[in-house]
Amino acid sequence: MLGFNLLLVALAVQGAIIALCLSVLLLLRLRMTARLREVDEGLQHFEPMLHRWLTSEQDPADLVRALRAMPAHAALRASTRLTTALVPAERHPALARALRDEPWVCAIIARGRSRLWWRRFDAARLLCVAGQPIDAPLVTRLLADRSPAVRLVAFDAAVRLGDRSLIDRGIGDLVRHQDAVQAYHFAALGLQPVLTGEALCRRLASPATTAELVAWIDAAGALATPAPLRAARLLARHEDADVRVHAARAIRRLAEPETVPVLIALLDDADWRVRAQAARALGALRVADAVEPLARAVTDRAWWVRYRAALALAQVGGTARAALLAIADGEDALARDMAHLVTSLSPSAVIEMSEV
Amino acid sequence: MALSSRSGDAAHPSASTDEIFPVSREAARAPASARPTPVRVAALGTDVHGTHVTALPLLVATADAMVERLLTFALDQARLPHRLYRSGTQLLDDLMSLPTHDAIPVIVLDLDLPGVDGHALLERLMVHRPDAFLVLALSSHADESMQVRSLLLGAVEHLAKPFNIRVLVAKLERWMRFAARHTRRDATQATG
Repeated sequence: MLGFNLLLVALAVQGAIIALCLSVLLLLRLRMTARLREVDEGLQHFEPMLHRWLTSEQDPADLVRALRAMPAHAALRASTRLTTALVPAERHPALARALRDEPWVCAIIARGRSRLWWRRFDAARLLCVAGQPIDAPLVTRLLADRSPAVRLVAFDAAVRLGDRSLIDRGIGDLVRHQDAVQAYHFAALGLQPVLTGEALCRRLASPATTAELVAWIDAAGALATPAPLRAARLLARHEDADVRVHAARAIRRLAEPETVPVLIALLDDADWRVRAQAARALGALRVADAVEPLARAVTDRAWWVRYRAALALAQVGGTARAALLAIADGEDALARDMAHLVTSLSPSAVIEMSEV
Repeated sequence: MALSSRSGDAAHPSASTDEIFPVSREAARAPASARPTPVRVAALGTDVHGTHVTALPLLVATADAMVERLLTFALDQARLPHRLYRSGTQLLDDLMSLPTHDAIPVIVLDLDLPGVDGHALLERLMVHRPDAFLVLALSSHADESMQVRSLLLGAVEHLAKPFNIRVLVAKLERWMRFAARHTRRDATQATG
């Protein structure tokens, strides 16, 4: 009898715990639904106002008032989601200045020192929209956050602040990231081309490891402004082949006469990857003076070099295309095959395959 | 055909415009307060240079809902009637049969389209209907290779998102003027 009573008590306790858990889940669900509804309502209210601001020269006072009237979490989501998608870089500073001293903005940014990562994440996201120079210490702290998500967003915020030391630090840390994260950072750095270019020039001119040089050369290639690309061009004769490969690839975006002899010299490099990238760059730059060395490269012992050189000749066009047709009738069987392959491509296919 | 059609001003007196771009039922039902504020211009249907920009076909293709709403708002404000597509397949089908002898259609083409993506669409147009359209490409990718590919495949502009909508509308008006002048000149030469 006692055992049966104990069993009943245990069942009752378990039932109560399950009921409690279900109630909590239900309440959480209801709360989440209500919050999502608030966000949707906020977006519906805010988006037309943002459209009006973007198509006019007015100050963003109406936007600020609209966000102030929303619950803080809805204002955060509406502002971050819409501004990152729709507000161009040149309109962003005016909006950031207008928002920064709003009470809800201050409250969320203050959570940047919270122990909970999602609160720090929210702060970092809002710093991307409303960050000002006074926020540099907090952004510095978030750049070293233990959460990768927070660090990723903080990098964007750091670039948008336009703080020279933060950008330099971010560039210094590029080498620690995987390729996909680096690509994200390169896109963010494009928002501050002048400061990024200056920092890259300094870095590329100073002693560094191969991995660091490769990351910075890739950043220079993604930025595609002349000064850092000139610094990358100086590394085209670096002793490490990895550095030469990335330098040859990056300077295909540097259309200057000085680039041509550097690339033609790289067509004779000992490493086939360097030769292939040099051929690709000469094609991208459409260097008519490089027809002869490129035609020679179509007879290279490495397939990729032959492929890139033949595509480059097709890109250059004119006498280069005639040279390619001559190779297609030549005696070198491997070169002939490659010339046949590339001359059979449509012009748009040549464009697509050259850029990939 | 198109998924939806819009007109910048439902009461626009230009019959030819309404024939090309019939006013959508939604726009016709909308209360006057919900419609965009009309912009004052020298003469209805013309820009400051006197060109009938609104009589030219303007096609907008994007699957990005936020961009679609922004473009719709801005084009309505600028009184540039447009036809909207959300699928590359649908757009390509229509472009292959769209008459271009009266006017060069201007297309705002978001490259990130479902069905046929923007670059594949440009490639088809380059082969089958070269120089028949003026294409302004939009993309969420700002990298150089995307821009180069768009321009080499025949686009006249490439803008990375988030783009400046005022700049885009100014470019559109400029290209629509160019299309109008080109068309008039060609027509004059043909009849001359």
